[in-house]
Amino acid sequence: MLTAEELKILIKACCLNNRESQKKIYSSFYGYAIAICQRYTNRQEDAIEILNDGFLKIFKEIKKFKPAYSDVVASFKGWLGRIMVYTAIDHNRKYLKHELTTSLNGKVIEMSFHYDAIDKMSYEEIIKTIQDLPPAYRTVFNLYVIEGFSHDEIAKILSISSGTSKSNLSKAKKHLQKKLINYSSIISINNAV
Amino acid sequence: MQFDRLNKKIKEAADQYNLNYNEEAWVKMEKLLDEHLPQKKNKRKLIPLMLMLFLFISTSGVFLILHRPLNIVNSHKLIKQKNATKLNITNPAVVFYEQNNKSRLQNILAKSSSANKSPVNQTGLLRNNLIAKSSSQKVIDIDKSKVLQNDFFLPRVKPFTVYNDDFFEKEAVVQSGDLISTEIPEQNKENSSASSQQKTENISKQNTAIAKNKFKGYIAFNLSAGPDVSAADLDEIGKTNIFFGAGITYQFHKNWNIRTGFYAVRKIYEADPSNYHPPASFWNNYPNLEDIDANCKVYEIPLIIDYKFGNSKSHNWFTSAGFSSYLMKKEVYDYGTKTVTGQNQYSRFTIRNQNNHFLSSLRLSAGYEKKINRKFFVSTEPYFNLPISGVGYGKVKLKSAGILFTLGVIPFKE
Repeated sequence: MLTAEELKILIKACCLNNRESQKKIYSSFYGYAIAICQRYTNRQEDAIEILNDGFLKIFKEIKKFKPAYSDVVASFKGWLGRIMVYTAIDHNRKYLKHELTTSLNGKVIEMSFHYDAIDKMSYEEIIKTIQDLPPAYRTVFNLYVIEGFSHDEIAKILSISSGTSKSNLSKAKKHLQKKLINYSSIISINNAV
Repeated sequence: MQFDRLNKKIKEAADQYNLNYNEEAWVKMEKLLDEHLPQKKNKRKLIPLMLMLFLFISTSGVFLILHRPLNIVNSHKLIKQKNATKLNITNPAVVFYEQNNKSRLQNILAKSSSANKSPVNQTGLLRNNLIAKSSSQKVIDIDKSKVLQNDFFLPRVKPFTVYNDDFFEKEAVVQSGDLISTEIPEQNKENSSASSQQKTENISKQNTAIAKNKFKGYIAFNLSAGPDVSAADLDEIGKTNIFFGAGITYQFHKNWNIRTGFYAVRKIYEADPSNYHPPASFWNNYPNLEDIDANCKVYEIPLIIDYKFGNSKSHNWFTSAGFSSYLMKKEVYDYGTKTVTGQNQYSRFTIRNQNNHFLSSLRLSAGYEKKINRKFFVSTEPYFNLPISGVGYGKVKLKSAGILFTLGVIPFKE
C-alpha cells in the first residue's frame, strides 16, 4: 500500500495526466475498488467495466481531491470508494433499470439456521452470496449494510421510495438466510461424510 | 440481533476482501484513458537545453568558418593616411598578398578592378608596383613602366583583414576610399641590397617558424562510453554501470579546451538513513527505516575545462576540472524497514522527472589523448565526481568515479 507521501506525489503527477502515476494508483487501489464493484454485479466483466469507469471519473476529478482528514490514504480511499459505489449504481441503473426499481414479489420461506455456519464461510463465499442476490435487493443491501446509507438516502440515490428500500432490504436478508441455510446443509453433509 | 451478527460478518468480508491486481484490466483502462484523457506530448525540460546546445554548436561553427585565418605568411605594417589625397577608386578592394618564393613583398595597394587610373601612377606614394589580379584572374590596368623586379601577384579578397607579423593582431582594416601605402621598415631598407635569393630563404624560414607556432581554434565532436560506479558512502560502493553519451569540445588555445555534452548513466547505490535527507514528512511513514536501495536513471551534463600538456604531433596529456549537472529521469527507491515483529519489509517508491540539480557536482579528471590522424582522436580519461549538493529525492551526496573512453572527430580542421 502506498504511503501518504507517495500518494501525494502520485496525485500531483496524475493532475498532469501522467500515465505512470495513474497506473500506480490504479494498481494500488485495484483490490479495494474491484471488491466494491463486484458486490453490485454478478458478472466479472461488468465489475471491471464499473471499476474502469470509476477510475476514469477519479482521474478526471483528481485535481479537486482534498483530504477530508489528516490521513491522506484513508481519505483518498473513502473518496474512491464512494465514486465506485455511485458508478456501480449508475451502471446498474443503465443496464438493469427495471430490476432496480421494482421489488420482487416472490415469497421467501423463513427458516432458522445456525449462524455459526457463516463463521465458516470465506470472505469470497460471502461476497459471492451477495452477488447472487437479485439486483434490486443486492443494491439496497450493499448501500444499507455495507456503505451505511439510510433508507431515505438510498431512496434518493435510486429514485425509489423509502418503503421500497426497506422492503428490498428485508427481502435481501431473507434471501441471504436461504443461501446460508443451503451452505449450512452442505457443510453438515460434508462433515458426516 | 441475529442479523447484527450477519451484518457484522458481511461488513468484515467487504472490508477484508481484496483481489489481486489484474494487468488485463489496466490495458482496458489505458484505452479508456487514451480516449478520454489523451496524453499531451511531453515537453521535456531537455528541449530548451538541447536547443541551447545546438545554438552554441552552430554559432561556434559559423564563427570558425567565417574567421578562418588566410594564408598570410608575412606582412608589413600598413599606414593609413586618411588625410592624403584619395584615389579615384570606384570599387576598391584591399588586396592581400601572398609571398612567393622568388619575391618579397614591398607594398600593398588598394585598387579598384574597374579603375582606369592605376594607383601605381601616383608618384610619391608607392615604391613598387604590383600586378593586381581581379577575381576573374585577369591582369588589369598595369603600368608596366613601374613594375619592378620584385613584383608579385595579389589576389583580391573580400572581406579583408590585415595581420601584422605575429599573425595574432589586426593591424588595420582598410576602408573603401582610403589611401594605402606602406613604408618599408628600416631593416628592410638595410637588407634591400642583399641578394633576393638570400632574402627569400630567410623569409621562408621565418614563415615556417610562424606556421609552426600558428594556432587555429577548432570544434570537435565526441562519442564517449565507459564504466561508472557511485556511492553514497565510501564503505558501500554501488553497482558498476555503463556511462555513455556525446559531447562537443572547443579548443580555443593550443593548451586549453572547453567541453560539454549529454550523457546517460544508471546510478545504483545503497544509502543509510543518515545519508538520506527526504522531506520531513517522509519519516512519519518510515520511522524504522533500515536502509535504502536506489536505482536511478540519470542524465549528466558536464561543463569542463581541459589543460593540455606534453603536446606532440601524435598525442598529449590533459587534466580537467569542471561541474556536472544531473537530471534525475527516474528514481526507484526500495526502503527496507523492520516490522514490530522484527521482520524485514521492503516497499518501493518510484518517481520520474521530479528532480534536477544544476552544477551540483565537481568533476575532476586527467587523461591521455592519441591523435589517429588530422581529424580523429581517441582518449582515455579516469574521472571523479564529488558532490557539491545532494541529488534525488533523498538529497544524497553521491560520489561517482569511472573511466571514459572517447572517440573524437574534428570536422572543420584544414
